[in-house]
Amino acid sequence: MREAWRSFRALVGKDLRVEFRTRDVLYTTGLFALMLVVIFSFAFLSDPSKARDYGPGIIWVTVLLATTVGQNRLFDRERENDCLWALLLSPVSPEVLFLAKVTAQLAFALLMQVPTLGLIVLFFDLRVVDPASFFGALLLGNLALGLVGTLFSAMLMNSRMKEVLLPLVTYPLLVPVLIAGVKVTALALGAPVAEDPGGWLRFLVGFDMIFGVVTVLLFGRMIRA
Amino acid sequence: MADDEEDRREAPVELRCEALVRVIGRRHVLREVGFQARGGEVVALVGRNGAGKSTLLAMLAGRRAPDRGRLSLTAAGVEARGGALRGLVGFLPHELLVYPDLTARENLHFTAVLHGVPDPAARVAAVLRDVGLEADGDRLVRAFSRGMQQRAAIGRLLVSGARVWLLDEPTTGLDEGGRRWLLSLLADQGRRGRLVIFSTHHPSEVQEAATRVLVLEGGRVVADLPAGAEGAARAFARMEGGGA
Repeated sequence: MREAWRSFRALVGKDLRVEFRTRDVLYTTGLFALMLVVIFSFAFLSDPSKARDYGPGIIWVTVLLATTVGQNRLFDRERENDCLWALLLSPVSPEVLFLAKVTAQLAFALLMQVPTLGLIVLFFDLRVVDPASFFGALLLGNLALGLVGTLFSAMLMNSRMKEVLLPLVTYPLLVPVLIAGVKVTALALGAPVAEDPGGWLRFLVGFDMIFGVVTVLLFGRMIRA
Repeated sequence: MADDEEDRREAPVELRCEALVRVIGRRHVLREVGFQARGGEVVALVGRNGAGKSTLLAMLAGRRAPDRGRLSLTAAGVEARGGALRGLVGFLPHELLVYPDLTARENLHFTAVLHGVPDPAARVAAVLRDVGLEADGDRLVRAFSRGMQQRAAIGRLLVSGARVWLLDEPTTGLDEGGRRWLLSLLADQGRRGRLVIFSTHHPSEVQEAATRVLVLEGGRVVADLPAGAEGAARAFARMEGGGA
């Protein structure tokens, strides 16, 4: 267990170190997210009274699209110089490798989302009335995106069409997460609906638990095969 | 459990290939390849381009599964599986398996941690010295020449403590001094009980480093000879079609 933890830290640390050195994923996803926010601002600000209605959808579309851009690059570093093979020849279990990749991806996504969400809140004049639900939904939703995206990013690593295929295979699976995310975010932004965000948050927790187990097992099987 | 693992990693290894077959499309890249090799041997694989050397090495590294046949690696008489198997084998293909955006030191430290090397910093410093990258250890691998990258990749094998080294034309990109250094390192690893298998096109490399030479032709092992000057000459004569 201690060795697994040490390997996990080394794997995450390696990804973070390489990213902070090259900033490939952060720049690409950050600029893409910024571009989306600007486009949405011009598209929807003609009627500022509707901002609270649009806000949750805009937040989740931005999160989803920008995260997908980053996930396309997730295994590129392992492909360069065939480094994935060095990992697979080491005693590290595929499960630890997968969880490390999910964690690194989550870190990149959240780093990109902090300024992006700040801009959305600012441009659309949103007020977060329930911060716990707002950030809880973001964290749980990002984890779901990370688990599903990392698995399929690994599966499609050697595909020449991976940029096209990744959203095609992951988005249908992630629709429930987006619906739950939008619902909780709308309630956290003060939508005048008599609904408890707790139910949707529990749904996200359940999704993460089920997909956490399924994706870890599938990744392990895929690597061993 | 950890001690058992450690003992196994220091134990003599034996590689056994039985009738390995690999078919790509309609072409038989490997045909019934069979041989055994033990720790302490330095085996040179020779053969023309397309003879199946790289495919065989990739298969021995577990990268490609045989379509038929059986491949096993035992350490201390126990067949290695899973994580233990992975930790036992080190592979150096044409792609060097080092991260270009990490320094040589970071690459080796990362490998050391993944392989559970005690006191990784000290081990990495020693290996950087051994591979001649002490002064360049804190430079990004991307900024290295091919020869220096090759040294960093060999450092990765040394740090990992793998008992079986598989190297595909490992002297590519090395200057004459580097080539001699590497061949002497391979011979030394054999003396230390590791099993080293490398492919080459140069008789002098067989002569300098190998204890045994396998000649591959059309995906078959057509000769299995002791190395040395005579063995190398016979192997290359066989390869060129001059008979053994």
